[in-house]
Amino acid sequence: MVKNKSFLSERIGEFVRDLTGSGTGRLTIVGSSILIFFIVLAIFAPYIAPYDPTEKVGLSLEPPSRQFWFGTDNLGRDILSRVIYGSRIALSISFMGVAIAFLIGVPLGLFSGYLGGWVDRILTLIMDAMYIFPGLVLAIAIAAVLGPGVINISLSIAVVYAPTYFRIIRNQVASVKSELYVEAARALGAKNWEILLKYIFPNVLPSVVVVLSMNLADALMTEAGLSFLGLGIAPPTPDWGFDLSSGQRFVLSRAWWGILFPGLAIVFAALGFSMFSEGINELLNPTIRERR
Amino acid sequence: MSYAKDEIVLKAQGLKIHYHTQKGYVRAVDGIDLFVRKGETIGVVGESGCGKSTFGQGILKLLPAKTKYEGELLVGTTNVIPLDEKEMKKVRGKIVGMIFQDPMTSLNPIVKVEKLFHETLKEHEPNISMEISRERTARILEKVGIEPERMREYPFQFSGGMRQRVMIALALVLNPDIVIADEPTTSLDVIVQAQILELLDELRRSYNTSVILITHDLGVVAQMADRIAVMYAGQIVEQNIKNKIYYQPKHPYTKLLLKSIPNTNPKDLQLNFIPGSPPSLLDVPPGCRFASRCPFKMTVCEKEPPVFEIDEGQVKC
Amino acid sequence: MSLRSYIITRIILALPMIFILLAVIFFILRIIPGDPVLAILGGKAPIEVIQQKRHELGLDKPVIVQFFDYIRGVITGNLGTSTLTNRSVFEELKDRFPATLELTIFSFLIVLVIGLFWGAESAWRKDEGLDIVARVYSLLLYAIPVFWFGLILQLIFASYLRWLPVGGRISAVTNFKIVTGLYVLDALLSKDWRGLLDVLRYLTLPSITLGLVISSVFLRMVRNNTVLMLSKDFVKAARARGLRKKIVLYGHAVRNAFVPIFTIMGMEFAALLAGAILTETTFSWPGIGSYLVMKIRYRDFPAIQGTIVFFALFIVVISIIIDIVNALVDPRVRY
Ligand SMILES: Nc1ncnc2c1ncn2[C@@H]1O[C@H](COP(=O)(O)OP(=O)(O)O)[C@@H](O)[C@H]1O
Ligand SMILES: [Mg+2]
Repeated sequence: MVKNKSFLSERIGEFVRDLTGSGTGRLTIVGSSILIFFIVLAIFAPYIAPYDPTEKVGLSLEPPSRQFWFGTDNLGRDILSRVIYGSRIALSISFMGVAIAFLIGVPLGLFSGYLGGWVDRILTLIMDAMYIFPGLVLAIAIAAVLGPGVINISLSIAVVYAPTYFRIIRNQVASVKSELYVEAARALGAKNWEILLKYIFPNVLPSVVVVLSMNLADALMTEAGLSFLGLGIAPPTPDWGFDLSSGQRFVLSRAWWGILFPGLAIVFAALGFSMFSEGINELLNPTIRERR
Repeated sequence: MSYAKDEIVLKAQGLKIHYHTQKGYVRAVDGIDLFVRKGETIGVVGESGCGKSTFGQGILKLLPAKTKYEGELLVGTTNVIPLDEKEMKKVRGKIVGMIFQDPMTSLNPIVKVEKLFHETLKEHEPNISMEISRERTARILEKVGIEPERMREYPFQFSGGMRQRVMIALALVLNPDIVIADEPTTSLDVIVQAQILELLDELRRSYNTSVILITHDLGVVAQMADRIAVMYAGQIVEQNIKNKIYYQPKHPYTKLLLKSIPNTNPKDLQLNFIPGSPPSLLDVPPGCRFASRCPFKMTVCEKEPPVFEIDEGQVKC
Repeated sequence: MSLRSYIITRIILALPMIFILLAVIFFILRIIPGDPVLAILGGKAPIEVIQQKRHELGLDKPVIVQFFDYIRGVITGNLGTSTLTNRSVFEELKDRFPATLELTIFSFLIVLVIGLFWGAESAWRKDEGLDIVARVYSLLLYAIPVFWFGLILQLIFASYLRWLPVGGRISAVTNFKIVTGLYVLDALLSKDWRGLLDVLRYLTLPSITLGLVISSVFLRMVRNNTVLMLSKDFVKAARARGLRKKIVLYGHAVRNAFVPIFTIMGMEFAALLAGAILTETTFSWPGIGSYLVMKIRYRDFPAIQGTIVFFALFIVVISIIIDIVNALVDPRVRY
């Protein structure tokens, strides 16, 4: 059936590299610059944003002007400020979603791969089933049950990506398990958890870090999709995806600014994450490209 | 030359084929004079990397787009050097057929055998019907020793030797004047090798096709060639009828090459390799290209060696 | 193995996969914290009402009984009853499915045409103009969220240029006999050419949006795999037989390039479906994607679960079809 899933960010990263023909170095620098830019925006939003993103500060649907660079939305709120504040939700959910996926997937993968047997087989079956399911559909289902909120959305995203960590870790553990130094540690009487943490985990860590960085762009896009569908954060919190869905109502009024700017923010953030992860990928796992 | 009554089907004169690379031109074929008569087999031998395949594929201009061709290359009576892709297509397959080294990779494993034949026939005879093309496929498959029913199968279902038979049939189905066989037996095991060579020789006789047999293996040309051209570093250093090459080699390289043939005597396990390695074709030194490895090297060897006509052949020394 | 027995084997092998998928969906929707009943009624509902609702939804039975009820339901085509409309979820999905199918078919055609021809031609003339444009295209469209791309197209073609409708599936004035639910086909069947034009106008933006976004990945896959295949001996051998570019490229290189592509085609299709949910929402396209989103707004849990199950089954069916096509293209998988 389906055997292979590659990440959005991995693909974008490769695209950029193919395109520019530039070395990993430059890719990493551009990627991390974009990333740092958004992190700075998120942290210092109150100092950077010209207005309060949730307050009516102008007329409804004012086009971009010197006063409102990105225009205003239908409630007269400043779109520039909302885009700046929006990076908070986007980044925190991406990071949290990926972190939770890591915390679910890695231990399960470690145990499943290490223990083997029927526990392993059942877990693998379940994870495989989740893996082939379209991520967004799964996230939608979970978000629907959990309801809105930063933690809940992060959880929905985490469930989508946890199987990836599980699979990578499980397969690596299963292959590392039989290697000599692990055998030796076992012979010396090391406890199971000791072997897992001291000998196996450090070995499989690099590939996980790569996947972790790759997941960020995917999580960002999924979050944007969820909030576009109205499954994200409760209004009036600024959120790129949600702002796009409110911008959509004024397509026919030709209020292009309400659509263009939040969307561009998503595209740039996704590009930044992807380039960054492609760089990390190359740094940590120079062989990963050949293996693919 | 004195063979005017024999029809010459291919003639290269000062043929140069240079690959374009980032570091400059690789002079893989660098001035070849050679002719092929109707119905004869000419063996092209030499160490790997000396430009044999380049010569073979260059005849059909199959090399990368930026490759530079110079000199004259008459196929029949047309010089193919100035021809474009469209005109070359009429030469490929129809006038010159080609057999490649590895039958496992040179036949598309997932295209049915009959389709391979049909698309080839159809390309050159656009009005051919499926029935006629099946008939002709059956006939040629029978000739190469494959049951015609197997044309419904896929190449991946054939063994290596059988695949090479399919490849030979495919090269002969349009009854070309010349067949280029580039290491046709190298990837096969010894018994199959002999069978394939025999088949090729038999088909050459019955179709009166000329064969250009490219190989690094002097044993292979010994079995089937009428004349032999010895290549070294992009040039032909000696060519003559088979027996002259085997029993009266003139060029030092030919002599060493003959000595390096593994002896069939099992006690004599020592292989005689020629010490040293050929010059880089990216940056060829002036003078004789073999000089650096030549046991008979003299000071004149630093100049471009002349070509001597001896008996019925030539030596460049 | 004959093609027929291959197909039968493939279907039998899919059954455990379906079961596991169904189980995963069930338990995910049950295990995760959060109570659908509370979510429906809100936190302050009196206990009796909550109990009543639980009973209605069958949530008061033991989980394992619920699970088997659910499996039995799926087998018999009973996906539960919508709490919003009191209609059978299966019936509602059946009404909505043709719209999604039509959208995905047209998008897929766009993906196929762009990916196949552009990818193949780019590979043939690697590193030249067309190929470079293809790379820029792939990159840009891949980093763009499908719904945003849809909005931009709406702005340009529906709002500013007014060439195409902004959303929906058919004009109120158009009416031909609905037989299959695939409007393009129905319009063709009833020979209603104006109707056909009308539904095509509605179909254009959504299918282009989804098709272009998904095509970016496909294009790249086709291009890269074809480049690889073009370096193979059998391509050179095909050229040595005098075959024209069309046959060398499409009959040999691209054909073989698809062998590895098929193994990830299922994933691409899943991406297409996920994209369809967003696209349908963007263009008010009345398919199962927008159905799902609407049901979520109303917290109609039986309908949500039913839709997810439906998506799962759809994906399994598609992956079977992909494998069959694969077996047709690459006979090796049957042996
Ligand atoms: N596509 C190419 N580009 C550049 N150099 C090439 C290419 N193909 C072959 N060569 C070089 O040309 C020389 C002759 O190669 P080839 O004709 O394959 O030799 P042979 O068939 O005698 O082993 C070698 O030095 C090889 O490295
Ligand atoms: Mg060779």
